Amino acid sequence: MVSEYKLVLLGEGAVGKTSILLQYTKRKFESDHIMTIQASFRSKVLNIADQTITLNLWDTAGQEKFHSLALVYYRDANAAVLVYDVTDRDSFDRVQNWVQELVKNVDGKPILAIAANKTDLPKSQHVISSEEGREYAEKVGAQFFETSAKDVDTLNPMFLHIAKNLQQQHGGRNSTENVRSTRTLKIEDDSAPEASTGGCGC
Amino acid sequence: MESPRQQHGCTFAEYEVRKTNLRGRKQERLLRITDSGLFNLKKPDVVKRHIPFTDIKQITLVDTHHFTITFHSLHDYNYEAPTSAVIVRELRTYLEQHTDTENSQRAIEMAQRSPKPPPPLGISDEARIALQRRRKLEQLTGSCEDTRIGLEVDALVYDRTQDLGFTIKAYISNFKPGASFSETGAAVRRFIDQVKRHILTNCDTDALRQYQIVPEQFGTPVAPVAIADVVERSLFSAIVHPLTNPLNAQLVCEFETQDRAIRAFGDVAIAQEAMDVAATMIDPAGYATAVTAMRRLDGALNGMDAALMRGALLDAVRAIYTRAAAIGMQNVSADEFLPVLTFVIARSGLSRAMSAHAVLDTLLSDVDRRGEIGYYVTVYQTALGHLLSLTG
Repeated sequence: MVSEYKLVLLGEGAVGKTSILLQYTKRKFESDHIMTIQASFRSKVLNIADQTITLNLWDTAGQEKFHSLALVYYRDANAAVLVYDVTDRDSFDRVQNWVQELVKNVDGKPILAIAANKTDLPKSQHVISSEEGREYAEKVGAQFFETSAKDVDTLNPMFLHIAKNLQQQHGGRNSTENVRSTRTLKIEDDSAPEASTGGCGC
Repeated sequence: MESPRQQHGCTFAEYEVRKTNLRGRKQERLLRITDSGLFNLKKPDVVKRHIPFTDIKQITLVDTHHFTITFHSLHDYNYEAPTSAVIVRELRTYLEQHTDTENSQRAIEMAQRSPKPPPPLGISDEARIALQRRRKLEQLTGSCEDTRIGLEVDALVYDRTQDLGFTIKAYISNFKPGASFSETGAAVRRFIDQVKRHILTNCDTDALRQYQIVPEQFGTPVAPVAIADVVERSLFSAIVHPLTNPLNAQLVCEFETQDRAIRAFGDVAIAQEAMDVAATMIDPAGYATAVTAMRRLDGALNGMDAALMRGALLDAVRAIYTRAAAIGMQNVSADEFLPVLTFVIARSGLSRAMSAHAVLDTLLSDVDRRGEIGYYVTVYQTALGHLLSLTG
């Protein structure tokens, strides 16, 4: 059974959306010095409980002047990751705007995750505490994760959480669209789904 | 009258040899190789034996003056000739050439003999014969599985004598555009989805899938074929293509002004103004490939060809990434990609940029909308919006 879901990455410019996307979708054995073209759209195939789930990750343009046009990006989104930079108060405020917009404009209930990014920077530079972030996330019904685009181990739990929730929410509903030949189905087995809770507050 | 020589077929070579028979007697013989096999002749033209190539098992050079031919059916022939080495080499060459042609012949025969899968449900005799012919041709020319399955689906969709084909035909002949293009497009999309669901659930997709099983001897493993994608492509051309005229008419009514506004950006200076990135990043020559690809969108739109439209857009996108990599940008974020795409659209001077978007946006399937093409259609739309906002 195959299901494809759309996941948008939202956040102000330079909070690390693209880095998260690239780090997470980087293929195993893909060494850094080999020149590969990195796109702003990437897919990740996960194998959860014998089901294949494709997460289509959409990078969005964070520039202010394109903001009015951003609606088209998150239309039909199944999930959204709202990214802010822990050293930048503005970016956190923007996340709150994004949440309001999403709630207003997206039909159905997209799975929300809030990523407090750049946690690898020294604690002294952080201006938004974990507690503040987590509290806000709880308030809007989002799951909170502390991430660093440099460390894929901080990203895996977040995307895994989203994928599992999507699977639960949609069941096999998206699957009739995707009847693929089982004979030739290619499954990319993903790294350890054993519950490494990471920054997950649950 | 034909000479005996001509009767043996086209002669490739002749050698004077001495054959030693089973009793050890030496006989002067002429060994003639023709396209119909080997002839063992008693001079001048008495055929002692005609050996088809297929009967030859082995040719062995015993020493410089002797060679042996081993057959499948008969005892060996031992020959003596001063030029044995040359004869053996040439004989082997002819034999090899002959087996090559024979092998390909056998492959074709096997293809023709290979077990025929049962026809999909609900196909008239006429359609089935046409299908079989095309399938055989596909097998021989080695076309990909996508095409073959596509043909099966086409056969279902175009067969007017069956419910499905009839429904589609009725829909097309009774087609009435809605109040706006987005309404029309959504209605068409709904119809495509309904038919698609019907095919995927009611029709025997297993039967379609069987066609993927290709005899091993034809080598290359089969690439995975997503049946839903093939059905989507087939249906799109079967349903949307006949509606080209009414759809285009409505597009022109609705988007002419906007189309014209975007066309006006064809001028380089204005295009550059539309950009919000360093001028060094924008080198008009560098994105020429992307611009050329983007221009194909117009033609594809005129024919309502979804595959070509996607192709044009995705080719342009890839050309942009390739160019970015060439100037040392390994990662292209959406923040950088969007301005460049805007620039490429402006430079391409598309005559119906907005209309193209309307078609791609309203007629994409749900799966596509969430996937790669959906993403780039969205970026394309954002870029158009940005260009329009510049015109005020």
